[in-house]
Amino acid sequence: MTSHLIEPGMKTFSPYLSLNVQEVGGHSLVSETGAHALALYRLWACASRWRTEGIVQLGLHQTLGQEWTVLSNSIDLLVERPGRRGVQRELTAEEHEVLRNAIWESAEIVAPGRFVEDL
Amino acid sequence: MSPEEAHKILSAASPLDVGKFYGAKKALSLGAGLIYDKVLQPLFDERERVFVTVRRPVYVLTHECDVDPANQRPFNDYVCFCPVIPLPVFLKQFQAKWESGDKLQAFLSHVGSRSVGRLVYVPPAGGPLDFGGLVYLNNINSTHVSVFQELEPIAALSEYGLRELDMSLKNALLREKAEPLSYRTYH
Repeated sequence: MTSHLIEPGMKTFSPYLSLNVQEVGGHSLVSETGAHALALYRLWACASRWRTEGIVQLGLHQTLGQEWTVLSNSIDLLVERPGRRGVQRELTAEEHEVLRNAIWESAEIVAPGRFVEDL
Repeated sequence: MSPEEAHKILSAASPLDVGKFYGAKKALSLGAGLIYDKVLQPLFDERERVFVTVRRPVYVLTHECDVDPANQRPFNDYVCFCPVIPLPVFLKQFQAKWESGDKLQAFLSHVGSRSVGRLVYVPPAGGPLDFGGLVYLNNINSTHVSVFQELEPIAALSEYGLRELDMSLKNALLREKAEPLSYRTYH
C-alpha cells in the first residue's frame, strides 16, 4: 500500500485555486492510499463549505485534526493528492499511434462513413 | 505480457483503492456513474476524413438528471460519454509495436500513477473490461439518448470511484490554462 505525505510548505493545485499548505502543528499527514484520499476529500468538502458559507478566509484553519494555513484562494477549491499535478509525461507520436490503433480495435464498425458527395 | 500482469502493474502504480472503485449497479439511472458496452457512436477516420458509426465501451459523463425520461424538457436528448479502451486491446497494440516488456511496464506505470493526464486507468469491471481499461479523456463524445434504451450497464462506479474519475476529468480539462488570458486575476 502506497503512503503519501503532505509536507510543510507543499503547494497543491486545483483548476481554480492554489492552496499553500503549511503545517503549523508539527504533524505530518501520512496515511495509506484510501484513507489519504478520503482525508483530502474531507478537506475539500470542508473548504467548499467555507466557500458556500462565504467564510473562505486566508489564514489558519483547523481541519482533520490538522492545522492548515490557507495562503491564497479564489472562487472554488479542490485539494488533491500530491503528485497528481506534477510533471506530466507526454505521449510520443508512436504511443499516440498505438492508442489510435487500440481505439479502432476496441470499436466495432457498424456503418461506414459517407462523403457529402455520396449523399 | 498478459492482461493479468498488466493489471498488477497498473494496480501497484495507481493511487486507487481498486476494491472500492465499483459499486452496485442495480437500479441506477443512465448518467449515475455507469459504464456501458456497445454504445452506438461516431468515430473519426483520419485517413478517409469521415465519421464512421461504431459500437464501443463508454463511461457516461452526463448527469442522470439531464437525461431523465421523467423529466421531459428541451436539450435532454444527447448523452455525453468518454470511451474506454479495454486493457487487452491496448496491450495487443502496444506489443505489436514494441516487443520489449520493459517499455510496456514503464508506460503502464506512468498511466497507473496518473502521469499521463489524458489516460485514466479503470480497474476490472464486467464484459470487455474484465481486465480493466483506459479512459481516453481527449475523446469525449456524445450520442443520442435512445442508443442506451436496449443496453444494460456493465459496471457502476462507487462514490469513491466517481470522485476519483471526476478529479481526473477536472485535472485534465479544467486545469488552469498555461497561456495567459485577458483579465487574469492574480492571487
